[in-house]
Amino acid sequence: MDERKASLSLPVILAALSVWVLYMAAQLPEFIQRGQRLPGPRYFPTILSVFLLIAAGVELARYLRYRRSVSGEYGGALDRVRERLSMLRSSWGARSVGVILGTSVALVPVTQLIGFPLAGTAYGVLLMMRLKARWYSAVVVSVVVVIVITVVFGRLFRVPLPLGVIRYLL
Amino acid sequence: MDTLLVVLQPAVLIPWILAMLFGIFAGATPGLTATMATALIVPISYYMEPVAGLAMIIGATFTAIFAGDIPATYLRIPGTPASSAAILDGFEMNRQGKGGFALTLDLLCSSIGGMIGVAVLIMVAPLLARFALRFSSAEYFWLGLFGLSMSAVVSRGNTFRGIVSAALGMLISTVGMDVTTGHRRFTFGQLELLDGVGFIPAMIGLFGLSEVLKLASDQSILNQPSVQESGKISLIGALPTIWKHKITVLRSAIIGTLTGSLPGAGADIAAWVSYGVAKKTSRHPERFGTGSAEGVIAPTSANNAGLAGAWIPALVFGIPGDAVTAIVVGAMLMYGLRPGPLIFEETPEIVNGIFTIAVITQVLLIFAGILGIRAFGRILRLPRNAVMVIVLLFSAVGSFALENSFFDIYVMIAFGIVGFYMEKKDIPLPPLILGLILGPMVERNLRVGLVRTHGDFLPFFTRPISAVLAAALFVTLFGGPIWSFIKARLKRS
Repeated sequence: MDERKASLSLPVILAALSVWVLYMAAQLPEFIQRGQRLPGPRYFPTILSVFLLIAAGVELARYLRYRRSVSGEYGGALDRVRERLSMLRSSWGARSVGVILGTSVALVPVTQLIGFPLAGTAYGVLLMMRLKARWYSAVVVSVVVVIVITVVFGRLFRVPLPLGVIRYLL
Repeated sequence: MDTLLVVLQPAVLIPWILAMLFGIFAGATPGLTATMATALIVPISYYMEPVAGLAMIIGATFTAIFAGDIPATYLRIPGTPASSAAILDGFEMNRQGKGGFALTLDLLCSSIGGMIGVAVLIMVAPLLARFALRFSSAEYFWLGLFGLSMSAVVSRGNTFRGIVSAALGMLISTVGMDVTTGHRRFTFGQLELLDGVGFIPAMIGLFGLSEVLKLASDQSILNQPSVQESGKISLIGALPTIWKHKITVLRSAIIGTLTGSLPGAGADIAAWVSYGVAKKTSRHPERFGTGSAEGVIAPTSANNAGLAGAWIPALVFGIPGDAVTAIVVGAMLMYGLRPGPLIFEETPEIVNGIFTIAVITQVLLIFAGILGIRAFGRILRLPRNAVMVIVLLFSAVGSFALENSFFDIYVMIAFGIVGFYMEKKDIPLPPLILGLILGPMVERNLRVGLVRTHGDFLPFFTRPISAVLAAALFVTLFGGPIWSFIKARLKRS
């Protein structure tokens, strides 16, 4: 069996999510009409969480079966987790993913602070340089794209993109 | 003839063509949907004659639905929800250097499918609309589950994980105000979550950001163009393939029209159902998801036909078939028209105008489509790192644009991470997004149905249409394994 299809993280995540949703759903009120208990707000999430809990069980069984079939090929689970973590730390790709996610999260407060034209350009330049582009092409592409977006969304579609300091220049 | 002269006069033709070009742009830009394109056109068309306004709306929506397939094929980002099924084989064909061919097939099938849909709209509109009106909560519940099961079955890889993905999507759809009691569920005090998780940012994150994250992991491809060799766009070259799969085109267009005519179903479900049926009935189902021409033809013939189908209940009964036709009904009221059975008697020239415009739009779509494919293909000759940044910036602004909400950018990022993880674990993404769309419909109809029957499940199985849909769901999920089991037993005996 493919390792991707047998993973321990998937059943753990599914089980944790289901238990959490079941707990949260239990806090929701019941729906009683004329003394009769009817399907209320908790009904559908509960059904889905029970299904996902069963799915977690199936995935766990799948993982255990896979482990049995490859036993001896690998060391213990802890060793493999350590190995993965050290791979992630040293991997250029994993760090790039981290940079993209980090800058994307930071884009929102920075945009609110200095406006989209500047924040978007900085975001574009930073990411393109991280993704191995030359600095001048990073600047040209980012500036052009930000101008196109600002004109199309801001002017044509009247989307209120924060212009920030650029507003005073315009 | 009079109608033809009316719709071809410059006052109608010029805004109509401009609207079609706008439709190409809106459809091909992730974050701008056909619904948004229609919503933006309505205020402009207010100052025009009703025929010109309707020509703009019809032109923009049909082209937007096709244009959504362009980024779906080139980038694996569906421009509109109706394009999510087109990703499966279109993107695979693009990976094999046949993106241009996939989009040519797509364009012709959209046009043919749309034409068949419009023909059905003209011929059997009243009949189909009456049939759809017989649907109650039980039928809508099964229809929603059937659409979800189709997306799970047709997703490449594991059907079980497809169902898990759909269940996750439905679970996420329960966030927000409860449809029946108005109680807040899983909102954690966030006002932005009262209306639920935004579908557009979720879709952009799942398909757009996750793909960028995946590509960013491989530094060897970053300076290469996104589309290495997309192949030639030759309409004549695509015709033999379409002729070979003529039954798939016809069947998908009819399924698309029928599905589209059911209120709430829309072009996205139409595309999924057609893809599923095409895979089930194909001689080579194993080729689906690997860049099969049939896998491109089926959903693309259905989505434009679905849009034509959505006009049936909108026009005949004033009940919109989807979000686009909901705006159309509003626009018609704004023009002083009354969609409903009487419109055929009171303003027959408008009805004939709509039919004529819809037919001609399918022809004009081919020219507008070629323009769109060429323009988009040129953008994608840029190095991959540039395209990735363009996608990221458009994804962020596209997520923000619909509700003017910064919170939606965070939603997009969260779904990007979820999509990245799911792809790593071989869990199909499309069922999750469909679960998010159909979740409220499934839940509402299940609960309303149960309230009506005082908690009794039996009417969900005893109503004739309901029973047929339940049986179809059973066959979709278990038909394959049961058939394999029977075949194995027969072989052994």
